[in-house]
Amino acid sequence: MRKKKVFLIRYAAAIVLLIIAAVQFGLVKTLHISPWKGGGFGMFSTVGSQNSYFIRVYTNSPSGEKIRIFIPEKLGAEEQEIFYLPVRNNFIKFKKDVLKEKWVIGNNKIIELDSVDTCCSNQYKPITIIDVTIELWQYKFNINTSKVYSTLLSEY
Amino acid sequence: MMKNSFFNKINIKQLVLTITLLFFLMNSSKDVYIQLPVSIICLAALIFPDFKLLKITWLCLILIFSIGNTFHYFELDNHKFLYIYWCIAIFACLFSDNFENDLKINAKLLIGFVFAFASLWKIISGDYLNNSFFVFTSITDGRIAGFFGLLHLLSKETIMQNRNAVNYLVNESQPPYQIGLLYTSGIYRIAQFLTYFGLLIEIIISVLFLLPDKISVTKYRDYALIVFLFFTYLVAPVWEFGSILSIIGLAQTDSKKKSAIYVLLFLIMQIYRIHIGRFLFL
Repeated sequence: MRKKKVFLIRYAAAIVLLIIAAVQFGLVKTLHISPWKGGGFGMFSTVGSQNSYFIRVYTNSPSGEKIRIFIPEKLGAEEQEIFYLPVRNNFIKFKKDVLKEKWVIGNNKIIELDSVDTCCSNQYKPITIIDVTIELWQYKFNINTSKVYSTLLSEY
Repeated sequence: MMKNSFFNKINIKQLVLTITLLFFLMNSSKDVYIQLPVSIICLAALIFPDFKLLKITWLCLILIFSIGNTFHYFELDNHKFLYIYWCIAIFACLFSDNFENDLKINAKLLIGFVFAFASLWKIISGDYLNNSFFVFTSITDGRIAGFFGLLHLLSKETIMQNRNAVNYLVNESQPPYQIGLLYTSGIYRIAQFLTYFGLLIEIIISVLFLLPDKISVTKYRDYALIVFLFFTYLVAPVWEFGSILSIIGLAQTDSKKKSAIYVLLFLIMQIYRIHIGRFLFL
């Protein structure tokens, strides 16, 4: 009994650390979370921090053309949730949030109604969006070519 | 003589607990539902010294940090996890007949494993050992690039150009899938040095803290950690990590002189919060 108590006193904190770090390792390998996050002490080990993630959202125009939807700042928090944990639930939640907004189309891009400058409102017309494709991208750096490049991680 | 008597009078247990509480008081979280209860507990424990020796004080801190941070688990910086581990260590040691000795064991293990995982990720990440990480960070992150500007290796314009290139890749409607960044061979050489020095010192710290005390080389563990703390957090913009590591370093050392250095480092970390690199970049 006393041995067990001494063991816990001395090693409980380290055991919790090891468990969390092992779980984080698994999540990085299976769910594409950044090694910087999740308690595994992978910060400063890769260009692939959560800041290297970004999304592109597309819909089809009435003529069938793929058009990018520019996400307004007010959906930034929901967008960030995908970067931190790119799982199906977060994609679905974000998709619902996107579809709730009012959108306008013009200059071959779709933006949120409130983002339109009053000066240019006549260049845009309302559009009803019924479905979107969300692509999760990440930029990486190739030291051999000195180029930063983007790569598609998943889409929903 | 005066200095020695001053250091000898210090009660390390009281000092470690006091600095930990002070640190949590200043920097527990940005979320008010964590910050408020933690501040009240820390203030109470600092005003009434006996309160900091109560198990319930540390149990409450563990619960507040753990439950409060669950809501944004995947957004947390790694030092926030270390806060919880450190509270668990203190809480557990309050059950001990030999608090200081057992806290030393906890502290050494925590430091050893933190650096072991940090080293492991650097080795397996795929873009650390080939210098990609340090080159990219050096030429795009203003907080670090400021030091290179000081050495006349990188102009502010080049950093802005590199940042704009990355933003272009992310934001354009019909994006290019790759875009070039600018840097010099001087930057590459420094990044190469930082890459290998950074990994080497982390491996050394991890090994020195995880080896048993009876192995003579472990007597250098404090020197390795002190050098790491002083130089790393001068550049790396995570002074909070440096602060909590200074506290844990203080808890595990046997030497009063090194204790004083860890306290000094804790104070220096508060200066590092201004992000000296960014200041140079302005």
